Amino acid sequence: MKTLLIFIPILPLAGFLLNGIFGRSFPKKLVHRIAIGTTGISFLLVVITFFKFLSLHTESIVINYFTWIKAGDFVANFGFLLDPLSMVMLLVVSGVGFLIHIYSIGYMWNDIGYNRFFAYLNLFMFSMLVLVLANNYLLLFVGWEGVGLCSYLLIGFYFHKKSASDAGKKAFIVNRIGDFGFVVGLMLMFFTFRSLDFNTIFTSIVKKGYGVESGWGVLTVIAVLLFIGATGKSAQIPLYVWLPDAMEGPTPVSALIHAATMVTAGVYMITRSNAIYSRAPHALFIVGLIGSLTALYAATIGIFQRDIKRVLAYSTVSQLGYMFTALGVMAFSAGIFHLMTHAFFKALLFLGSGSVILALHHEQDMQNMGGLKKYLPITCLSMWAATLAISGIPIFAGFFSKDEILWRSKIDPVKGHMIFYILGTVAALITALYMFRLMFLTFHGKSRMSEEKLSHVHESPKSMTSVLIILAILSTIGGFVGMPGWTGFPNVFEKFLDPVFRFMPQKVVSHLHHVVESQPAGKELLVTLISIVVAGLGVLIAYIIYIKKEALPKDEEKLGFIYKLIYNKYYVDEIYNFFVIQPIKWFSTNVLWKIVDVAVIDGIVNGYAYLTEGLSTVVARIQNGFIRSYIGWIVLGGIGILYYIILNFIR
Amino acid sequence: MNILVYVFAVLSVIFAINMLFQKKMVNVALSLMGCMASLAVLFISLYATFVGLLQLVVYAGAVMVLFLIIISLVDPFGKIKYAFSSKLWAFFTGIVGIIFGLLVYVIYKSHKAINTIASSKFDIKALSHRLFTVYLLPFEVVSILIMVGIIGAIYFGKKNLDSGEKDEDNS
Amino acid sequence: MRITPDFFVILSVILFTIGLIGVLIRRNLIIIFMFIELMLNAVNLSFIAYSYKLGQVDGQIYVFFVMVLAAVEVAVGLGLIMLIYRNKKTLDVDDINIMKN
Repeated sequence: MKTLLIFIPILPLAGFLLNGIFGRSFPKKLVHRIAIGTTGISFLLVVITFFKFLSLHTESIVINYFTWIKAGDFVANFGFLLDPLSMVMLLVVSGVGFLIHIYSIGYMWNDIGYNRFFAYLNLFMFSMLVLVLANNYLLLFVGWEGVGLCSYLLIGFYFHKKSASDAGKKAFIVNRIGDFGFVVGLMLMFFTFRSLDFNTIFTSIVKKGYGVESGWGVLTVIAVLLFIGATGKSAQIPLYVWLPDAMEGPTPVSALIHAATMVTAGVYMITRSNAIYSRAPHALFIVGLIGSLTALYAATIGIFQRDIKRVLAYSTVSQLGYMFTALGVMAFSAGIFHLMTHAFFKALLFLGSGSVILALHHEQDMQNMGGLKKYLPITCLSMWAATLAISGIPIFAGFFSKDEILWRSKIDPVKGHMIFYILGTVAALITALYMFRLMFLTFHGKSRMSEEKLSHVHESPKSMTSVLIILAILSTIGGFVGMPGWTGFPNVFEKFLDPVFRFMPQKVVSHLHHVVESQPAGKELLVTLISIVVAGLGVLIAYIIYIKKEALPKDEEKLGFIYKLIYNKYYVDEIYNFFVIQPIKWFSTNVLWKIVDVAVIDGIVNGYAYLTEGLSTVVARIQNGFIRSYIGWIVLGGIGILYYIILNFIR
Repeated sequence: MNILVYVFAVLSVIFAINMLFQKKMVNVALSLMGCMASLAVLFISLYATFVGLLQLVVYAGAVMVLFLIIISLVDPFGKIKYAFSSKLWAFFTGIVGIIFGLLVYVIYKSHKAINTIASSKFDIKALSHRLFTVYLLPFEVVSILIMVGIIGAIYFGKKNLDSGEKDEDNS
Repeated sequence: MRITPDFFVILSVILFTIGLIGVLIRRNLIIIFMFIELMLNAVNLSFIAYSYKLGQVDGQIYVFFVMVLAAVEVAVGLGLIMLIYRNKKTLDVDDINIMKN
């Protein structure tokens, strides 16, 4: 197990090194063979590990490879933790990552920097696998920063385009803001528990008898600080602004990093810290509130976007909001469940949109699409599967996970009110609306392209469509592992994840059980029906507007003020620019540069220079070149030493 | 025995003072040699036989020969106009006087602190045993130091160093 | 009655100060060097005297090391003096002030 596990992240790293160092001279085929081979084998190893893990029937396996940092009583090990949670994450990350690697062959074939792309992608796989496998917060942070770096590199992949490199910088800087909170949280955690190891911290929480904090105790503060890190990485209010801009990167990157895996790191991290969060109801409420607000808010922005990838980006932000809502009501396994299904269908949506974009020669504006059903049948069909999944239409994967979240937020065991549920349900309506709008505008209705352009449109190569098909199947059936209670089937997924939550306080666990069990039998079914109706309503509205009335994106402008507000994303970027960036700029030019740097720092440095110069002219007189004067000084020194001896040692 | 010690002690001081006033380098060197030789006698009278003999062989022998060779190379019979500079000698002697006073004070105090006179007499065997066990590492280090010194001396003796020195002088 | 070791210590101080005076007031480089040797010898004498007083052989070992160091010092130092003389044609320390600035 020990050697098996280390190879899972090491293989992509080897691929990165090979492609990164020698890739320039490799032929393209060798480049992608290396990249896909390494990730493929590592996926295979993950599957083997999964079955081994199942056969072992243990709660978790901790493997320490070596001591990484040791300073005083601070010890950080390079070690892996394998438990159901990291197992699920491993499967999702390596599986979806592997598929997207395959897809990238077709998508990136005509791009310059083919080897660079695959090298970065492999590096990303390595970092992400380290992130989910780490057995302590510091190693997790290494992965966390590693994926952030890869994200930056891949957003700015077309670095000659200013918008792309700007977007990369934006992502990096916004993530740093979140990471600041995260690091402070880590320090506070170390300060409190003298360790950063998951198991050590959680067991010491249990042993020291930390109860559920009613106010702002240390656990609540840690939880909130960690959540600040999560808002950066997982694009929640107020730090979500980087994710839509991240769509400047190549589409496979948007699918892998900015939809399926990296952005869910925050969800993973909070679930991993469930022992802390379950004792901090205030923090949980903040998580849930931010999550559900983001879910609704990002969904509304999605309605009027014209760029096909931007719609999906806001949809990602919104879906991540759902996951945080789930965490906020302590439905950790529901959050992870949605993470998994979302990875399937959102990756599929992005890859499908990538297929469209490639077919239309990098046309991303939906205004210029329409009627592509005939030309891209496989893409269209697979994207429909994903759309139905994300909109919460029964049988498809998203239905089960989203429904679970809505149901659990309805009976919110933390604070006991329905605000998350209401926000979530409205968001579900809007989700269905904008997703069907996207599909109708892209694949249905009349074609809005010139005949000449249309003649070039063709279905993507097999390497891409096969990936689409696999993901479509997963998006369709992936939800069956977590069937809701009213169906009578066991919820395999939740049961599998159960050992992860063994550090939660007994009181909370029994309270949770009580709340869930005590609901009347039909209530869950009712909630399900409501969400189906809501989703159907969204579909209906979309159908009426975009199929019956054949409305186009430019027709939406008639809505006037509301359209303008939403189309410009509530002017949040402008508000940030005015209230955050400009003051910082002003501060740094007028205070930091002109006063602190020029006057204080340069002043100190120059002052030292002048002081030294002045002193040395005095001291230089001593060094007059006459040996006997030197000897005289030595003798004076000898007198000093003798005097010192007499003062201190002679009584 | 005691008289012999007093005689050589006085001799060594006389030789040393004589060094101060001699105008010829050779005479200074010869005085130093006498001083060293009388010190060797004093060493032996303190049961430091080995060190006393070394003093004779190394100092009064080898080192002094080196001095004499250099003197003969440099300026064998040159008389120095005056033994010492007239201006500052009083000031220097004053400083030295302070040092002398301080040293005597320290010795006087420490004499009170240590007043046991050990009766044990030590032979060369004890010395060599200690030298090659406890002080083995310093011993080896010192041997390396000698080697470095030899190499350095050879290097300085090379002719072509002259130009380098002159270059520095000119600049 | 044997002579006390303190007599030798005082003698060594006297010799040491004479050496110091010599170093300070003589102007010839080689002679200064000789006075340095004299100072080393004076220190050696005090080592021996204390070694006798404390009944420990270590003092003599230090003297041994000092002698070795002095030999090395003479070898290197005289080499340097030769170089200086070759270049400057003088041994007067007051004329040798190339180290200024």
